[in-house]
Amino acid sequence: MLLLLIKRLASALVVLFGVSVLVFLLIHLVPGDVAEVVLGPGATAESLARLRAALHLDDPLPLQYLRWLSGVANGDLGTSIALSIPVSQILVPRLWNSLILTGASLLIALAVGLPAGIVAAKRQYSLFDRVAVIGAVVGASLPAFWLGLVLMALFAFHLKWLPALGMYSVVGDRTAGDLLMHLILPAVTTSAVPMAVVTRLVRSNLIDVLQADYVTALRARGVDEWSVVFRHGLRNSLGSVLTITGLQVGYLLGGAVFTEVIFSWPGLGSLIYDSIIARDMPVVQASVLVVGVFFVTINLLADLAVIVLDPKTSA
Amino acid sequence: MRRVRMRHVPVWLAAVLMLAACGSNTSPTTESGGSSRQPAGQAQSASDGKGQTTLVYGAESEFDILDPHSAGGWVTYRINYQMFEGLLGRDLTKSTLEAPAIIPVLAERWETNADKTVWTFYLRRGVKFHDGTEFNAEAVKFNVDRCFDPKFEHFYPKCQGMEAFHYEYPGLRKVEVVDPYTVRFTFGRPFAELPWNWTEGGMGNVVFISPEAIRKYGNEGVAEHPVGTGPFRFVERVRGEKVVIEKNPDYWGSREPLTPAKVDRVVFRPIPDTAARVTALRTGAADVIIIPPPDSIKQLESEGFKLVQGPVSHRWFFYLNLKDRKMRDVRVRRALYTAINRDGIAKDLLKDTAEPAYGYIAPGYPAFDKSFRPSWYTGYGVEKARELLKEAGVSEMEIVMRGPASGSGTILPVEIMQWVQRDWAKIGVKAKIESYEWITFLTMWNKGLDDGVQVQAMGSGDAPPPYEVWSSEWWGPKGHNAGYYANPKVDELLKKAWVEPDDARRTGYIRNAHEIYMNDVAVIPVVHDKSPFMMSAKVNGWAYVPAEWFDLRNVSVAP
Repeated sequence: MLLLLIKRLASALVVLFGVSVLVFLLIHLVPGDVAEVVLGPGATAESLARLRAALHLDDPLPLQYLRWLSGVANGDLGTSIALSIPVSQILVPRLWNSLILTGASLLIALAVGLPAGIVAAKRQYSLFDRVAVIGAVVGASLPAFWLGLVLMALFAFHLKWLPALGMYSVVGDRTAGDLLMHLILPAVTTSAVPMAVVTRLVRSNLIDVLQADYVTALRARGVDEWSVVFRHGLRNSLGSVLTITGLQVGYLLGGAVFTEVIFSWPGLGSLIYDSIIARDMPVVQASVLVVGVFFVTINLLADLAVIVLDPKTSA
Repeated sequence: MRRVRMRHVPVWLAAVLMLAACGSNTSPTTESGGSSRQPAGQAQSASDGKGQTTLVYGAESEFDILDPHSAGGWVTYRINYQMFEGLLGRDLTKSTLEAPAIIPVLAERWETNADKTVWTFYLRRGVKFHDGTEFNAEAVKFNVDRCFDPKFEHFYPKCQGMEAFHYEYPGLRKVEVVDPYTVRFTFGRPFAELPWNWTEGGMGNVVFISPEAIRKYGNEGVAEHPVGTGPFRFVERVRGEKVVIEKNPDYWGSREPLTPAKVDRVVFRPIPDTAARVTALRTGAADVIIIPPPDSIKQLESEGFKLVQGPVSHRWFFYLNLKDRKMRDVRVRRALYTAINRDGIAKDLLKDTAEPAYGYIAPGYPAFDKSFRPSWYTGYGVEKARELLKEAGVSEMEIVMRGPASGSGTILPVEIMQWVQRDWAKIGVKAKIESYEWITFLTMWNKGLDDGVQVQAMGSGDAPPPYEVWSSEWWGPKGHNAGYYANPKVDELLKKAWVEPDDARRTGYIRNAHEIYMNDVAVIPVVHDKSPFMMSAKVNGWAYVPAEWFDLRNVSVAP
């Protein structure tokens, strides 16, 4: 187990390094002069040159990258070019906001997807099964920006059950209850795809497992159905679900930009998008690195959980 | 196991959809407009229960820096405008179709010499910054030196590098403190346009920050603690969520138009998605929104929301590449100008949120003349345009039309370009559209039109002043004359305008230059934006002025 952990950590570092290099190169390939973005297109050549020098934009790319990497190793994520403040000051609150949204979305996805998949597998070909399968296809196909607007129109505008956007009310105290009310619609929106994936995966895995010989043997020995399904069947079918769920976290953390824009949720996705538009490279680099770290960590934890559930997979 | 017949499924689905449709017929409007019941989890925006009135403004994007000397975008200028003041300003408190009057603000009066190279300002006394420190001539010099003098202890290179700085202080030689309430600016060239340039919100850096705040927080840090003299002062900022300002209880002004604010608090919240902004307005999450989708305006008005709009100092237009052989014949340019159905774009495409533009000068600029048409222009017409092309010996032509996919001041650029593409196809001109992401496009625009690109779309306000685009000194790269227009007569008239002390004569020179510019068809204006604001019926006092900014001091929100 320890050896496995070390191997995975080593490969994680390689992945993070590769991602950071790739993003660095890509953001520099995008046309647009960041100095002109900051000073305005009519700025003089001298002032543009001065700003470029101050930001080390004229240094060779490998040097710029190494400077940034050295800063990260010392805990310094750099300074935002657009806002002139430490990147960490912008990134940390947004990361926290995204973790809240990601956590809630995942919770909804699992809370609905797991039981739906289990019931669908147990009652294969029933009405519930058909609705669950169709629902999963629809959920996976719906674009987040469309779903978000529909939910907003229905629940915020027509029914007035929930607030339309933001993380908190702009007037009044920022309470946990207020946050929860604001979280529901964006979390449901973002949970649609993972929910669909979990439902289908649990359903298909459980169907396979429940048709296995050992399950027939368990039933023949008089084991109650509850234990057959949950203690034996589900446990042996959750491996790939955990793996996929780990991948979904990465998607939710950095990729929920449509949801964040629709609901004005101040998360990491919209920060990355705005920073790319503004050519704010330090913020983009740091944000992608953070998403990468979380992605790698959560997937590592998911893999470990799979091993705990099914020790055979560690071989 | 009992199987569900597949044919039963559509019946169930239809039943579910019917139930959902019945639920969606609820109409939320009331007599006063807006929601009749407060949405769950959304506190009243009008009153926060502590007796304070609050206005919530839904902006089109996140804000950048709350330092007016280095802020990058108009979205943020609208906030900074409420907190900071300059020596002079424009009266944005009264609705008008004319250019807003230039008024004394932190200066009581000013005088200039004959050639407009020396400007002396006599400052108002008893004005304090929000942190209690005094506004005086030293504070003015401090702020100017921050952007002007590299030897100044608190010099801020970024401020000096900003494009706006060069329109605010062209050729500035020195700024002197004559006495505690008198400050003198000496320029190396005549600066007749100073009052206009210094009050153009898009170049909003001739306003004053508390020197004490800059000393305390530093040049970068002061953006997190903005301290001005305005009717509103900063409360807090939560990035990605809101900027909150509140009424300045110690505001120095008491006589119109410079009176204290009426509303207690204003919350600016970024809502980038247009549909979400509309929903925010409908649910009470915002009291005012900017740029609602044109298609939503009629519906919102029928629900009782108010529309405030009017032509502003903006134009959406095409540069023409005058170095390109296809654009050299003025008859070809006139044909392209004549073939555009501006009324159709303004009414059908943009739903009256813009008005046709026939000249480069936009509403709100002193030289604007609503009746202006180029002297050769006899109205829109496909046949007229074809005739012009025929005279030029052109029956068919292929051109490249470049423009942004989106961006500040560009309204709906792709849709407008597609409309024009269709208009030009009717006269045998086939335009291939190339659209680019905004920053990429700006970089291209800044270099001047490329070879092979005959036409380039753009939206712009009056920062810099409109005639900067007409002068051959401003050819691209690094100039706003991206189409390489050059006419010595126009250059001569502009040079006269720059040094003309008499406002009426200066306006005359600019109008004459404009007439030549448009008769030459150096550019093809299409529409002037009307900058629509949609607001709850509870909001009162919102003035329409032909400017891209607004003054919130007279705005109130009924409970």
